Amino acid sequence: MLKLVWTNSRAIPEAGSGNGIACFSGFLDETVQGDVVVPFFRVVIPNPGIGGFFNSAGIGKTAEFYDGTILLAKGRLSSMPVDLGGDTIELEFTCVPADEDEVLKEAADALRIGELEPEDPYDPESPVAGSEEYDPLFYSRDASDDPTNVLAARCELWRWHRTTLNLERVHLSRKGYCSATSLSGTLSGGTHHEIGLEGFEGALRVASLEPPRALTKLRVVAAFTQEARGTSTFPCIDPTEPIKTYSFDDLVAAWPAEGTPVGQNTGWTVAESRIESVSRDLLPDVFDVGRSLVNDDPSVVTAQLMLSAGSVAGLVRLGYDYTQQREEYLDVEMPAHAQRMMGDDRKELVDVIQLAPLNIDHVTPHWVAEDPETLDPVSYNVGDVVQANGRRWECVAEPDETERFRVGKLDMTTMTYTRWWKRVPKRAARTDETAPTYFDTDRGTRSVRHALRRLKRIVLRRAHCIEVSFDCAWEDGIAMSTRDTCTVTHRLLRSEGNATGTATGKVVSVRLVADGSGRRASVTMHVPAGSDEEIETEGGTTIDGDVSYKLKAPTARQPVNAAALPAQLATVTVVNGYAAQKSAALFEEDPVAKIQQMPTRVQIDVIPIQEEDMITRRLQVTVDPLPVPVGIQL
Amino acid sequence: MSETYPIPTALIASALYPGWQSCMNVTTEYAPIAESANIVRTWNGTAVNLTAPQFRLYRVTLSCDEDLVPPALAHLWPGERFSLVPAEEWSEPTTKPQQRAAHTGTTRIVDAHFVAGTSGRRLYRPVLDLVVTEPWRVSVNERTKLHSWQLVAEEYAHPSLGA
Repeated sequence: MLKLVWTNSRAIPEAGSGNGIACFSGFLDETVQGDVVVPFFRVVIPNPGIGGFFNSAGIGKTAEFYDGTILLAKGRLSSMPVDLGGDTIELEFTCVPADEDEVLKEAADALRIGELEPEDPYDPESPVAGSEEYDPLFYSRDASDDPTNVLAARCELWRWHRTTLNLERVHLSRKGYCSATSLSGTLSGGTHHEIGLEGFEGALRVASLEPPRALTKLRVVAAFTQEARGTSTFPCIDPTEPIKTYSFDDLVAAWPAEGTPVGQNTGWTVAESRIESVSRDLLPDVFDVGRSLVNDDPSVVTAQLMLSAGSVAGLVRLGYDYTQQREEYLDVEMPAHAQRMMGDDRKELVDVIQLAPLNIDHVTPHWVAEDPETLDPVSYNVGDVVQANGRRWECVAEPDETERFRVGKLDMTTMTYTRWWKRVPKRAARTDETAPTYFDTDRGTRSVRHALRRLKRIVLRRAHCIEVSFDCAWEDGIAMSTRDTCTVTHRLLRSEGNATGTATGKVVSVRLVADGSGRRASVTMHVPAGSDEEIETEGGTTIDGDVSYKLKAPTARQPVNAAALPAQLATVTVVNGYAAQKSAALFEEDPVAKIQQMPTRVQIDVIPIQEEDMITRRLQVTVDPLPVPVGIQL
Repeated sequence: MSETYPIPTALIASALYPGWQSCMNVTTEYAPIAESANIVRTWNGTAVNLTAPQFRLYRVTLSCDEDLVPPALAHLWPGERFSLVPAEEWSEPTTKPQQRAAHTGTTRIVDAHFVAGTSGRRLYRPVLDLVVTEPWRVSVNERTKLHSWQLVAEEYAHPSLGA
């Protein structure tokens, strides 16, 4: 006997007791919709009258749905009955708890593994549980708004349990479930049902869904800027090697100033510059000069000029600024080890994913003054980590300032400074900004494997491409759920040359229908069309149990070796140095004028840093055929 | 009145109040209710009844011709419950569970030769908890004073459900 028991007036119904409201008909549905299973049930009960209805029922009230003493489902009244005027009313209940959105969001957020701590980074040999199933670069900053996207690289679905209203995850292909927040996703439980020949005649329906193509392709694009900024390790002009010149004052005045570029568009600038000392030679040099210097005074026979040189000891250190736009295309191609259903060998590109900026921390939330939804002021607690002013901060004491972000506050009466926020290192995917590559780094491997797992989900789901629906006994349906798998036998499921055949698949829908005395269950399953031929493997790295891949990565083109820039030497030429000045001024009528025409200068020559528009690198991942269960022989 | 008139029927039903010149000629018809059968066949060809066991209920049709006193039917509106012990016995093999409670003192067990024993056939008059499911009808002829009537009832609920 089908019974409805309002939970707010509950008494545990016993067999034959008067507890509960007898139902004229009942309908329970547990079907995969997108990536979530939200069971619901509908019952038709005698109309208690509008007053009776609003006293016991009402939107959001919960009720339990029994078959005798068997609890079939529990749920919340999700909508008002269309008509309250008939002898009977139809009520629809959804099998979710009152705080369903929060529960789902919380569970999804538990699976979001952000950038790992720099001291404990991602290790491809022994990855942290869940770190390949989630890569923040594949998601936008607002990723947590959509709890279903977190399963994009897991072969799982969310499911609300219809009698406990707990959230759990069920597998796309295998029986079993795991807790909603389990990072490893280890399956337990679930049942395999053998319906055999016990399905009801006339209700079998077999349809072909879209099978996977011979090759399924996913492209991931990582665009990043290779950057190298810094100063040379060695100064190009060293104070221990002073420059000797007559025109030392002029040289000091013309000494390369900090910040001036070296040459034109070379990428080098003067980063550090100073004069340490200027010393004069003790012994002056003697120049014979003509009498014109003494206005042709006839009393002068010969004239000599004594010029004293000086040594300028100074330091110049160069700085470099290299930025190079780079782009890496990762093409992942996965064949499915399925039976050939489509005649063509075509490739299908399922998605092109542009990774989020690699050098920006887009996991840590930004500091906000008020909640964007409720418009209430946000209070932060010790341990919260936020981004503000382009930096990352951890809360060390509860701030009492909510209007704007402040690191701390000075109490003017006690003159004590309270620190609220401590600066912590930023978390970005690329920590070494000078590296010219991404996908073949350790962090990049995490992205590659995440992409592989995404593709696996797509291919595996598509490989379950035969939809088989049938009706069976009510009791079988009560025992069945989307946790389970099922086998049926039918003459029309035979392969060529056989009298009968079986189909084994994942249960994607169970409907229990009770109308009057007629009770039956309608079940739909998705049957994988895997092949039982041996897989030709090419070897490589195996992840997730059955995905073997090889990464083909060409060497990155590096017009500039960014890592070697600090050690790169500049050539310094002293133009018109002491020797040149002296030899030019000797035997000159007016050596001073000559020297003035030849001021001493330092000339710095560098190898210019070549920046190119965009350097593109293409990487290829080849994958062994993905094993698909053999659910049916075609 | 000192003379008592005999009751012409063994049928026990206080709601019908059978008595002198009423229910003299009752025919009782039993059948499972229609909802007890909802047969489908599996892919093997096996017949399966989709109906829950709680629908294994009886339908009772009481009909009578040539009563001289009208039966007490006026209050038996459809939906009214009443209790009935039919005049005739039911019969079941003792290997099967007894389907309905027996009226006190009516059970006897006989073998195929109708010799009383402990196994064989169980004969008893059941106690049926009925509900009127169809409007009854009575027709009477003024000249002959003959009443003919029919009452259709089904069991209220399966005994396993209790009250």
